[in-house]
Amino acid sequence: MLEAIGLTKNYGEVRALRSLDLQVKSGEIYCLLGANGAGKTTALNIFLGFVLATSGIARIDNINVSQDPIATRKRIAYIPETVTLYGALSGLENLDYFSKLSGIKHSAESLRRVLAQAGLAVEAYDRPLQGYSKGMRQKVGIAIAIARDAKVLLLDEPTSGLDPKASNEFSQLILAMAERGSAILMATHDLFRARETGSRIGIMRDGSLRKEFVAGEIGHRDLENEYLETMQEG
Amino acid sequence: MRSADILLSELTLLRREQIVPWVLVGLLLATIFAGFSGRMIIDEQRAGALGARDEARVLIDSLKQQAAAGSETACSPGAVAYSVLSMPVSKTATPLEGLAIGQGDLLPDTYRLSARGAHTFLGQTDPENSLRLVSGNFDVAFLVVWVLPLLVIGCLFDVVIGERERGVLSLALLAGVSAGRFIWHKWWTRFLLLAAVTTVSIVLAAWIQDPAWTATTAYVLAGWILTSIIYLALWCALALVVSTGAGSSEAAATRLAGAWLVFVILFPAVTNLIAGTVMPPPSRVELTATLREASEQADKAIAAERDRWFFDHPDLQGDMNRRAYYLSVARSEAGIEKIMAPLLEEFAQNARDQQRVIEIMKYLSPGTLTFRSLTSLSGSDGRQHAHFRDAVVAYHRDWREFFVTRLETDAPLTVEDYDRLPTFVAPQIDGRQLILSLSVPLLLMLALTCLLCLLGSRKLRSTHLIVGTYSPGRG
Repeated sequence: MLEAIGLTKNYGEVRALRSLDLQVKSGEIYCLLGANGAGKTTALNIFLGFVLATSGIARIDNINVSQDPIATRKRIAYIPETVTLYGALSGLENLDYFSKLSGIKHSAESLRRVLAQAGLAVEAYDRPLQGYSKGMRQKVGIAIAIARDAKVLLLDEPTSGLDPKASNEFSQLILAMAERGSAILMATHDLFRARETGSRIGIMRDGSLRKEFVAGEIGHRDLENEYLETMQEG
Repeated sequence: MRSADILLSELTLLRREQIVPWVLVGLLLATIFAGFSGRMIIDEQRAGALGARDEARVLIDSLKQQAAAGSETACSPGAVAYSVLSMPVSKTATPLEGLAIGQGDLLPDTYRLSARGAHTFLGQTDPENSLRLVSGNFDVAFLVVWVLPLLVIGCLFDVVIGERERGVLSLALLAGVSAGRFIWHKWWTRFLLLAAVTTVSIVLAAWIQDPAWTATTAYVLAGWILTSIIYLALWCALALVVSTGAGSSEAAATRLAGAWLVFVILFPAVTNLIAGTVMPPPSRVELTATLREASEQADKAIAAERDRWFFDHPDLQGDMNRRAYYLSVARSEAGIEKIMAPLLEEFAQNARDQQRVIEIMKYLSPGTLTFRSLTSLSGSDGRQHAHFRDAVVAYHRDWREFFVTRLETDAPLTVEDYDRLPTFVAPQIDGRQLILSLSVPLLLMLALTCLLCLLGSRKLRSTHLIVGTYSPGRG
């Protein structure tokens, strides 16, 4: 569903991504761990088609991103680190706006159903977004992704700044999306959430994928040790 | 998503973001207030001019009746020219002068002239105040030039960077709408909204002036709207470019505020400074001192002449001949004028030179360019005042000659003479010609707007727009 083969990105002299090989299948949640500057966001941006790879191939649903970015974008939903959206509009109106932007027209009933699926409290639907917490905004972001019916979900540090309860709710939501068949690639700093939510976990450093684990096969303490070890490698 | 849908969604968004509607309502109300304010100033000026004209007309009618009755004073060209009658002459009332007072309250719209020297009425002008040459009163021109760019900044500073910060730009791109298309729709919505409110405001302010709706009025109003919209578009285009290149909304707002400070405040101030420094006005003190000295010299000369005359005509001691007296006054006035003329010309030349400097330097600032265009359209700029002044000086020569010729030939004034008094023809405004004369500055601003839009379009195609400039500390 989502595949990177020898993906490399150079910004002048700086090598942001070094020959990344990665595969995320349908129903799978792949968590990319790594410090700032490890290359996580660059990898996401290449899949999104916002940045062109220097070399290598990025594929979504077997379509090369660099050759047909419009087709691949249709299959992606994306939640950036900060989902501010339009503060003056309500959650329902934001969802309607971005659905229409994608050329999808939902009935009011259908939009409410999507918001419910995203876990937003009913009383918040018609309130302006500027009064929402970050967790609630993330839920609207999820709702936009659900409304797009995307096969691939890319998340850039979605749980940063969320309290544990909101973070847990968010994990449940993306697990539900994975169960519905979405391939999910999530860049995160949150080791605990990666271990709890992810199917597989990759640790990146200096633009390359250094280690990879199956989430169910590694404990929290071991993952933390592996992460710290990778960060201290020469 | 169809363009209409994006535009409609943007309108809903603007309606919800209550600042924008309030900004627009504020602009509308402020323009209406400025329209009233301008009309009050103009009405006051016109009432003064009308009152002076009525007064002169009544006086002329009365003199005519007295001349018919054989009154010595009414029949004496000297007495009428130098002691009784002064003639008010006024600039042609332009249809929408109240929209841009410009220098209307600085350079007089009405001169009250007699057969005495030109210094007696030209001294009313204040040509050294170059600061007011490029600024103005609280009128619609002030709102357009000074306030409208601030509203543009408020409405458009984050048109691109704000969308990126909100994460909307990436979502739009994923939705299959290019950043360019998405942003241009937002830009057009805001620009059209501002343009519509500006147009309605100007039309309302024009209606408040209660002008005679002639072809000239239509041309002037069209020119006003066109100039204001082009100026608005220029600022909107600048806001787009700045918002596209800025790293944050705060940076975009700061840069645009800086641009406003430079182009609307600093450049006009520098223009004033340069005009005043390169073309320093002659000394007012010198003018007053010279006038006093010349008057004293002339008085002494008259007194000496009078003494000589009485010496030759001792029998008429205490009952000086009226004609001889006014002939001496005429000679005295001519003497004063001869001394004053070069100084007055120096002032006039200085005003012309300053105008020339400003005429060149206006191209440095779209604010000055627009202000000059608007005052020009409203007929209240320095150039049109200069034309009016020249016409008054020419008329003054005719007026004086009319009386002095009769005085010198000892021809008494008759009833028919009162009907033949020289009439002042104020320079007329050709609305179409006026718009044509503005075509260069307007085309220049339009070209600059297009250039900025092209630059903005190019920047909107850049990938940096969505993801920002790469820094190793990020992802």
